[in-house]
Amino acid sequence: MSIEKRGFWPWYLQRITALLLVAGMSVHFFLFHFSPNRYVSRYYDEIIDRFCSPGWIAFHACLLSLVIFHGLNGIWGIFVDFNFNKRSKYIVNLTLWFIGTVLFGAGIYILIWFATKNGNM
Amino acid sequence: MQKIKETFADLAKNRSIGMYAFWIHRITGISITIFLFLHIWTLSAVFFGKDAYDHAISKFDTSSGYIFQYVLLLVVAAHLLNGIRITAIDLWGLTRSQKKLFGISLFIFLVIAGIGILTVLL
Repeated sequence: MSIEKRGFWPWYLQRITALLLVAGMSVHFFLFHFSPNRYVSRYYDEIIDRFCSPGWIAFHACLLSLVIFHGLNGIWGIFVDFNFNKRSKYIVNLTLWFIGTVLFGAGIYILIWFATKNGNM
Repeated sequence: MQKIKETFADLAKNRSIGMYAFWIHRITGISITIFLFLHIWTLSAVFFGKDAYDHAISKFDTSSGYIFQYVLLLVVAAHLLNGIRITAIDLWGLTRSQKKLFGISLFIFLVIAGIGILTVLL
């Protein structure tokens, strides 16, 4: 992912989102894979009880947007490295935007679904 | 296609720690992005109600589910630690220390892999 081919902002934002994701993913992994409550914390009732406060919803919405941007921007960086023609780049760029929008929309819809089930929001 | 062939030829020619780290980072990055689809798809079972959601999640509470989660942990840890290494090299000009940083990343990775056996697999 050379900075010459991709421009400054995609490169810089990839680094910034990476640093934010280190913190966000550590919290996510601890809660759902390392903590003593990791088994129950994945199930419906526990999510409704513990993870539907405005703070947790905001945290997961931020984590979702960061991970989608970082993942798709990374794939774009790999693609750009292969020096495809302008038309291919345009199609891939459009496809990645579409995938990102669908993933973000679906993820936010899931969060809203959970949030509106416990009456906290 | 030519560029893809050149990339593989480059890997065969330059077998160094930096090159391995570069490839590990790309493969783990693509894998995690693909996993994101699976993750959203699994969670979307909530649209069919509590039972459907719990049933979807329970598939990860089997032996193969725990192995899958452990592999996921290793993939995320490898990408995350190498990402910190790359960011440190890029932002603080630590290119000369890249091999040492790789060693530190590898050590932390092995610690996480060890803890993961206790917390994810067992």
